[in-house]
Amino acid sequence: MQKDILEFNIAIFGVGGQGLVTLIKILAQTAFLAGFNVKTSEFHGLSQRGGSVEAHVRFGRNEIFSPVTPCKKANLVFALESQETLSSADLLSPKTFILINSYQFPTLSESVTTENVMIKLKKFTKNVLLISAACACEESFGTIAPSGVYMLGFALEKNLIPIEAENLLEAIKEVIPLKHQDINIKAFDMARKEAKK
Amino acid sequence: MEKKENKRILLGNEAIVYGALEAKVRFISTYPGTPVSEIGDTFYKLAKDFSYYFEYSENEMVALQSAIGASFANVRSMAVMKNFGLNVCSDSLAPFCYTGAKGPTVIVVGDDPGCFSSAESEQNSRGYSCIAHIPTLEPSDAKECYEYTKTAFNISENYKIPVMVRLTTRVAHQRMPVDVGEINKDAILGKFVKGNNSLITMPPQVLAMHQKLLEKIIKIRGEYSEDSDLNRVENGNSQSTIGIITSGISYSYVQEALKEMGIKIPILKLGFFYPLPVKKIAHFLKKFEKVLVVEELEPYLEKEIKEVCYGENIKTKVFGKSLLPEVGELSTEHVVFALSELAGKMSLFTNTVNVKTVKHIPRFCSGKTGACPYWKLYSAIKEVVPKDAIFGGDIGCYMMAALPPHNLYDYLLNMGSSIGIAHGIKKVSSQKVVAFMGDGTFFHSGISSIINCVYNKSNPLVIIMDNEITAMTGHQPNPGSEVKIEEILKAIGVKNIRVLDEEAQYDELKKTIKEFLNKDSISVIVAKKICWLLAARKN
Repeated sequence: MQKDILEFNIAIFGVGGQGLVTLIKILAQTAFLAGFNVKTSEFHGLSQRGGSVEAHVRFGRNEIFSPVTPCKKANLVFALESQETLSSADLLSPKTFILINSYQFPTLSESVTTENVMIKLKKFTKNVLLISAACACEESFGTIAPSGVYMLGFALEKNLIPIEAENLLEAIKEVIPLKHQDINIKAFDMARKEAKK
Repeated sequence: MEKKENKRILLGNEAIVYGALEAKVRFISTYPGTPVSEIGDTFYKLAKDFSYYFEYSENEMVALQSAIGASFANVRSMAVMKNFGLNVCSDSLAPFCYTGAKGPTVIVVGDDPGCFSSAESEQNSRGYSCIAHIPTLEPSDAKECYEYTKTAFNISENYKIPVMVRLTTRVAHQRMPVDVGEINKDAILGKFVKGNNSLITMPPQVLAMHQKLLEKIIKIRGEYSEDSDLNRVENGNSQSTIGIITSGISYSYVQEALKEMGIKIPILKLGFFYPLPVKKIAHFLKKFEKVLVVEELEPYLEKEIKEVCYGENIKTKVFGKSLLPEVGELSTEHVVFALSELAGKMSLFTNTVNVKTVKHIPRFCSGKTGACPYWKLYSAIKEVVPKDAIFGGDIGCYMMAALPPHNLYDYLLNMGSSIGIAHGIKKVSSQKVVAFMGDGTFFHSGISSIINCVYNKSNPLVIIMDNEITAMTGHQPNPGSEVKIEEILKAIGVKNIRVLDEEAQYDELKKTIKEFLNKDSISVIVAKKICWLLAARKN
């Protein structure tokens, strides 16, 4: 099935320090292992210090031109922080799937509840899924650090990303430093079990 | 399926490194700056496996001067910096183009349209190509970062001239598979050949050097830019009455836009920004009624293309900034809009979905085990400094004190400027001024402004925040590991100096701030505490 993917666009939203770049690297490596064309876009520097961050991974059998997902072309939105999901609005179409981590990080200015975020986004697509990645990781590992990888496991099991589990696992092992691998793979497996429930 | 042996996912910045290594670079100097910090960091990381020399220089001026020295000793060199760094070293850039490069030399510069990580200005460094007459290449993706770097070394070698590779954030921070070639690891010993005066840019020969440089550029234009595949036409068979000329990341948006619109329009893709292939451009222009120039920031291409029209009496209508923004980065949607307008079709531009977003403001780090020491520092400042004092910011993590919840600074411009500006305010007013500067910025360009306060006698309060690292750009080392800031201060004649840990000596810090605010000469508090994130990662 995955060989038929011409183009698949994942947009990731969150705040600096949540590991967006790690997620980008894992997803790009996974797509690469599957033999797809792939391009990504990310930010470093100022925006990484707890500020809003947006990143993109685009892959498929078609040639990928822009590293940034065009308007209305996101197949999957990954939000590591629930309020940041609102920034994805331009990229959404009725076919887009949105996976939101229920975690909230203080904005230091205006804020919005996760419930209201979902209400607003459901005007664009009915496919909005909320998961407690941060809570689950905090509970099991005492840290929210593997939340992104947890979300990957969940998305994979729910068939939201057209990639193979073995490629994804291999990419996780290649990208994540050895000392953090164990906890991330556990988070990945835990999320897959959770998704099956 | 493609062979994967040498192909790997590379960041644009990493691709620059692999291209340079394949071109046998043996000397690399840099000053860290987003969006190109990872070029230096990758060289730093790989250094033990290769035989090149790499350094984080004190600032971009020294970085370029050192690379010039290595080039004069006939070694393949590279200097890397962000856009503003090119301003810092521009004084050496122009004469280096006059002398020419002995060892092939490539200068990589990173612009940041949209200012994702840049205070100061939305600088378009392409202006320097024209000021210094430095051949300039503009890659549009990571694969081209790799290829163009190799090409840049070739051009530099063939024409004995430094070559610039200009990146933008979306190119530098883009990942894609890149097929990497063999890397030669042999050590190379440089040798400066004495005995001629070709490296002396003094009058009267400086004029002859200027003349020679202009002739070199004409030669590069004719022999290389006009012929090179870097400047190529795509979709040439289309019957369209509209053509597109573009370069850099804008090329990717053009391709994406054409795909979205399901149309084929001929594209002249310029890999060479300077010198432009004017004959190739003229030939392309003549085929169309209208040509759209797609480029980010100031319309350097558009202006030169219009000049070609004028010079060659070409009637083609050239469009650019009348349809595309000059401020901020471009997007696929901008190109779709401009093309729809040109074709007289209904605009397909659909950016405004009208959802109010909630944005997170960048802030000092904090976590379970502690927090950035700057939290304490700014709380001390707020507690004891009168509100009507003037607060001057500078570049580094501490510029976030300009944002909520601190909202502290009254001015913040460029690297190393907080103290110089404070001196000027002090000279013409009776107001109290507190200027902030990090350790990295102090070494980069702050020291001379303190000497000036001593020499020309002003009394701002300066807070130097020494967190023992250049933190904002990703924890690069700086001279602070070798040179003690307080010893420099003492040596340059500062009378009032205190070194205090803003957490452990919080009360003492507040007392000292109050005391130093009333001194007759410049006073400096070195707030010394290791970056919390660095400390946390070390453990």
